[in-house]
Amino acid sequence: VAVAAPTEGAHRIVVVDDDPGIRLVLGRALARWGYDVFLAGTAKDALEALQGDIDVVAVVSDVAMPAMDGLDLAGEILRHHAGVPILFLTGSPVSAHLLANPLVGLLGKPARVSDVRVALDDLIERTSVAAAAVSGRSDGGGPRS
Amino acid sequence: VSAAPWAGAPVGTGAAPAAVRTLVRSHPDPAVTRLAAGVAHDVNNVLAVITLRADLALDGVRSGAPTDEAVEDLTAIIGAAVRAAELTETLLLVAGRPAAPAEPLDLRAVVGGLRSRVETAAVVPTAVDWDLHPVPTVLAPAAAVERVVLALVANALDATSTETLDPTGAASADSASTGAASPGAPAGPRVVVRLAPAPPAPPAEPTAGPLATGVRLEISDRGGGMTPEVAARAAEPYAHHGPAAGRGLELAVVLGIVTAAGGTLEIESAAGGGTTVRVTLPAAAAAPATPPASAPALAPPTPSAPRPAPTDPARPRGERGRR
Repeated sequence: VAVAAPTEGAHRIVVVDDDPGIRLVLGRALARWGYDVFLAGTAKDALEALQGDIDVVAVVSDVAMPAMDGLDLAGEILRHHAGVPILFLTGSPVSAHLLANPLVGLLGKPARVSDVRVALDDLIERTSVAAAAVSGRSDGGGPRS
Repeated sequence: VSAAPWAGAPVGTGAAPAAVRTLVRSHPDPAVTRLAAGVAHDVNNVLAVITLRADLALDGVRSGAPTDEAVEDLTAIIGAAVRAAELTETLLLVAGRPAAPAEPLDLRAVVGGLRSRVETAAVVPTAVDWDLHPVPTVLAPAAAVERVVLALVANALDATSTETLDPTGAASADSASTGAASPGAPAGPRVVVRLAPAPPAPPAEPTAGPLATGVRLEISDRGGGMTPEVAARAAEPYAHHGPAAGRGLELAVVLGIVTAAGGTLEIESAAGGGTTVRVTLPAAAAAPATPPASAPALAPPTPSAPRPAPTDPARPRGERGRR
């Protein structure tokens, strides 16, 4: 569900949470910051949103969800949608292995709106740095670590 | 070493007592771990709504945005606090400590009063068949008993649901009832609610005593049933769907209420063969046994005001319960 008419050229963020109250309020905050927001109640809906034509700059996801949880969702995103970072907003534990990935961020629930913004900005910045590093290596043909 | 208890020895007047080293272990009960994790999840979700909404309202007020949104946020914050209060009430019920006092109840009137509520809300009003006989008075909080009935009927409807109400495809609610009704299931009610006096138990049966006279409430469904292993754990908090389902407490609540009222909860089920959940409550000792035959069929049970249903049996399962 798209929460607001996107601004021209706005970056899309997919919000995944099985709690409609949290989805809604996150959607409003992100829309206020100028993002084009897609709200998904399940990991499956989020993956479908990622298949669409609109480029997604980040996914903000809960961890504990029925059927497919946020950790499995992250695995799918990292495998099939390379370059899309995922910010977990959760009270559940997330493995250190997953968090070692620069494209994965973690924010504990309950969080302040300002925390969400800082974490998201940081994650998107890290993602673009990582992407630049990868493309730099590719262009230069240098050794990969 | 002296046999004198060291705890009673005056300080500094004798040999040091022999200390005993004890390894403190982590709590071994996985049910406690699950309950703690589930409650933490639910509370954190409520707190997340409160903090995020408060921040948005504050930003809006500071930036001179229209007050409508701030009003909406503040209303949502109050709603979240009410949800948190409902959660603590639920936990007290799980603990067998209902906040409301027990009162004499005519269960036929209580269950009969819920019938129209279920039929109004149900997708298929005829899905539930009601077979309600006059029964002895029991002692229990009315709202808690209503919650028991609604939760069990909702679970039974979930177990027999042929519609895809849950987009996640997750199975039914806490009942752990598995699978939907088979495609070739006969037409007619999917769920039967039976209320009758509890038949006197055989004298040899150890449970005979207090339940020899009482009330038996049975909710049967034609769903997929469950194995004895699953049935035995059906009332464990968050046992079946994890905290994600956010409603992993409902059968634990049922068990807490029934136990607090001195009753028992039984599940009779076979994988593939439907499920009957049986609640047996003891008759109130000093109360008159069966209402006289001339009594109205569905007399109001108590002067207490009806409370809103905590669980709505006919709402899509994805929307029921707190998240």
